[in-house]
Amino acid sequence: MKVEFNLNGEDLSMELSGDERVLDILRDRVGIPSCREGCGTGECGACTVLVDGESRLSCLMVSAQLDGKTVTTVEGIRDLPRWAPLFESFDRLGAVQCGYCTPGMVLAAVDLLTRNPDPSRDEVRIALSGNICRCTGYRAIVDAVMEGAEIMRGLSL
Amino acid sequence: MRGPLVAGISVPRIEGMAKVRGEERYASDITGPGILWAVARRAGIPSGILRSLGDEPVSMDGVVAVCKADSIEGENLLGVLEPDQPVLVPLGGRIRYRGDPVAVVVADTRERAEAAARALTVEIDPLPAVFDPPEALSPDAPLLYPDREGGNLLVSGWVRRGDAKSVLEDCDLVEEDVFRFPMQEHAYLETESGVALYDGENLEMEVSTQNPWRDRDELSRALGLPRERIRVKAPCLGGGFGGKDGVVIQGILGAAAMACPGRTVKMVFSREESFLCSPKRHSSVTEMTLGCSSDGFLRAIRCRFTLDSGAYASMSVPVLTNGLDHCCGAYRFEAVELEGRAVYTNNPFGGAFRAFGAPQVMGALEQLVDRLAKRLGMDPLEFRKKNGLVRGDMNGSGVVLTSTVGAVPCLDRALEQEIWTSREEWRNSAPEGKARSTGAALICHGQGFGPGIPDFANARIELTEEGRFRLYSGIPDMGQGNGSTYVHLAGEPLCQERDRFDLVQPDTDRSLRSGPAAASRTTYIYGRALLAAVDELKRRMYVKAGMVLGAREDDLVLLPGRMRCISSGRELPLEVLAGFMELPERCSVAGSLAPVSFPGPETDYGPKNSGFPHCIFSWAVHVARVEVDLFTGQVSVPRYLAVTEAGRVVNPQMYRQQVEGGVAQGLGYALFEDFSVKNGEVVSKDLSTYIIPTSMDLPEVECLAVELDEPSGPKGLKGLGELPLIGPLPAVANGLANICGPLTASPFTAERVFFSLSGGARDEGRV
Repeated sequence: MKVEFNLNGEDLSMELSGDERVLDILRDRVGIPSCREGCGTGECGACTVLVDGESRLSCLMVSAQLDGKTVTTVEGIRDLPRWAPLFESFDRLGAVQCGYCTPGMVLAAVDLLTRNPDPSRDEVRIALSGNICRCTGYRAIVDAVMEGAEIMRGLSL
Repeated sequence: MRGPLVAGISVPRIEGMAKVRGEERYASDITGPGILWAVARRAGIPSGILRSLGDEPVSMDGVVAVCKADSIEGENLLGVLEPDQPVLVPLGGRIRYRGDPVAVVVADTRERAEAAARALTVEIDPLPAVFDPPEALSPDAPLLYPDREGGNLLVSGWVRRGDAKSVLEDCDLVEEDVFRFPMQEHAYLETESGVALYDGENLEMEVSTQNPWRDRDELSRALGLPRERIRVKAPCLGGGFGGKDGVVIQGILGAAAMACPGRTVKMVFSREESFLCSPKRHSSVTEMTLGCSSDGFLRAIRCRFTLDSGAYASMSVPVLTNGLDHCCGAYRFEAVELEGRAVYTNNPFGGAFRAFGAPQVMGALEQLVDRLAKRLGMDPLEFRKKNGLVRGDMNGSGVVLTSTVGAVPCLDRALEQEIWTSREEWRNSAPEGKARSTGAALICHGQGFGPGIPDFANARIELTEEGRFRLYSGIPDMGQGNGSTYVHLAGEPLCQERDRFDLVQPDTDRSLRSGPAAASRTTYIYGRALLAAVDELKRRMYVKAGMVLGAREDDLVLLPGRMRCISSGRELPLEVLAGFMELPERCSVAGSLAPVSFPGPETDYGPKNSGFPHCIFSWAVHVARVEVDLFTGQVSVPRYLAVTEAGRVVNPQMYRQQVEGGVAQGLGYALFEDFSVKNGEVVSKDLSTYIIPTSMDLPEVECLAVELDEPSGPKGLKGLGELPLIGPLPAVANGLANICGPLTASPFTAERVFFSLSGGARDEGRV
């Protein structure tokens, strides 16, 4: 089937079988390596993408669900000034270790902060609870989201 | 941070932003047009003889090659210490666990390769199997290696010093118990993955690995290619924790590539395949007896522990000896009698996992120590202080500790922390239906390899024509940040900013052999070699700058980006200086052999030459606040303190990452992680049934560093990677023991705790 969607601001039209995983389409057909597979069963969150602005697990979505949607990965937001403080906080505060989960973690944070620019630590923890990190213990990640949010509020972006 | 790098100040990792932006390339991210996918077919039966393999995949759409054992020209055997693991099981060969690969199918897409691997007919004559170590040692047990001397007993070892039996009889108080801990899965987010290309002569591989050089050696032997025709590159790993220290995917990936000359072949394990086929933390049974005098001095210890090695040896021998080495923990004993064994079974195999056998023994020891303190009516930390090792003491393995020993300083620091001093208030503050308590543990972990394995590293650093510094790492970075720490270590003596460094990840053709990312050795040993290489490079830069500027060397100083003549004020940018130097001058190499072991102390010990004993340790005290829901048994750990002595802290941010990450994995081991295997089949097959901690499950860990200056370590540091994983299980268990009595089987799930609260029969766990 023909599937039309917008990926990181670019309109795409692709001939796909309806049951292809969105994760595979992004990684293998379009070349978005930051969208990563950790489990394939919707448990780890490494393959998180934003679909119409909300975080979704691309390993649990199939091509047909993409039609008419807007899909965002970190490639689509990493150069936007609006989110720069969040990226910088992840780096500066040591929220990154092996880094395999990090793009998914950033996108989950973006989803939260779009809805709630001033979250509590508990709200951040809840929002990130679908994204597993095996390295950090999460404290630094929560710090990064809190500090990134604070800077962004100051900038009123 | 602006300005030159300084030890002791936090600096974000060099590749941090690339990782946040999704630009870092892991082995699993490598892709390109025309890339082929390989998928292995696994036996699916725990024991048997492989009789036949069909040819169905050959005619299937997109299939490029079907690789079986007969197409492998080398020895077809893998294994670091004991080459017992076939790359592919040959016809007539033995199946020893469900994950044994019997063939690899290569196709133009992953789906087609998977379908073809599934379609392959596999005939196996089943044989009796054995899944329990004691049963495997019985005389009529089926043998995994019928021709092997020793049968299913892979290895046994012992340590004897003094007469533990009679000292124990003479002790005023004795505590003993049997502890059962299950397998633990690394569960790195990036499963085993890599790409390989064979051009008809040379095999090049980029793979998620902790030791590319040893991989190259093993591939050479197993696949029958000379070593110099194999190149292995290790990009940043998406986690490792020991699970990628050894060949897991490399053999079948290499075989698949050699079956398709000229084409790049990619392989990524599914999560289920990774759970089945990667090494595990060994499940264990630890029987331990501990005795002390009525005035509170520990006197003797006896311990026997059994590890389930599963189908292959992997790292079981050094894991066992490391366990023996850590049996006595951080304490002085008059008499010691330790015995350990690792047993082959038809289960998935045990191997390297962060802390390498120490959690299985210290998880028992620290609970018994607490029980003795309680019976004596002593503060458990004061009891530990009374018995804790100090410099000059002989440890359990018979080593007189001549290096930094932080046990007592860590205890002193923990004793004054609020989490400890307020434990009565915490206990009394429990709301209705809940109980609260505080538990602690004193732990240690050895540094580097033990005797018999030279613990060396070779560093290479280069001043480039652009006046930058290119550092060729010899040890992969699996996420712990060692690459950045190398830059940090080099940056201070070179007086350069972080951004003037380029870091080359390990590559057997470009960097130098330096051993694995393992054994808490990485920063310590590579750092030693690197500082020597930096010294030499600096010396040459001063000589050359002196010649160019016509100045005495002691009138020169290296500053960020330039060399300056102090008296004249003239400056020489580094790119200009580099222009006066040829490549051999600009490139400095140095090796270092770590002084972390010596031939062995006066103790009766076997087996020889397998990593026993260590002589330098890092130390820590962990304190956990626990809360139990008395109606459900649910345990939470709302607060946690780790006081750590691992020498000087070079980068506080990364130091904290290591501590917090280790505690997170240790709390997972204590509370949730139950790698369940029934009849050799993995029951917890995925991340929905094998529960690892999420952001909702962990406390924010308070990290304190006691910085003793380790004279043998670069900038005074010691290794830290493994230590923090050991503490959580006993600290939590000791907290829980005050509420529900002793817990001898982990993980401490709500079910187990509830059962214990309601006074049920002892839970023997499952091993």
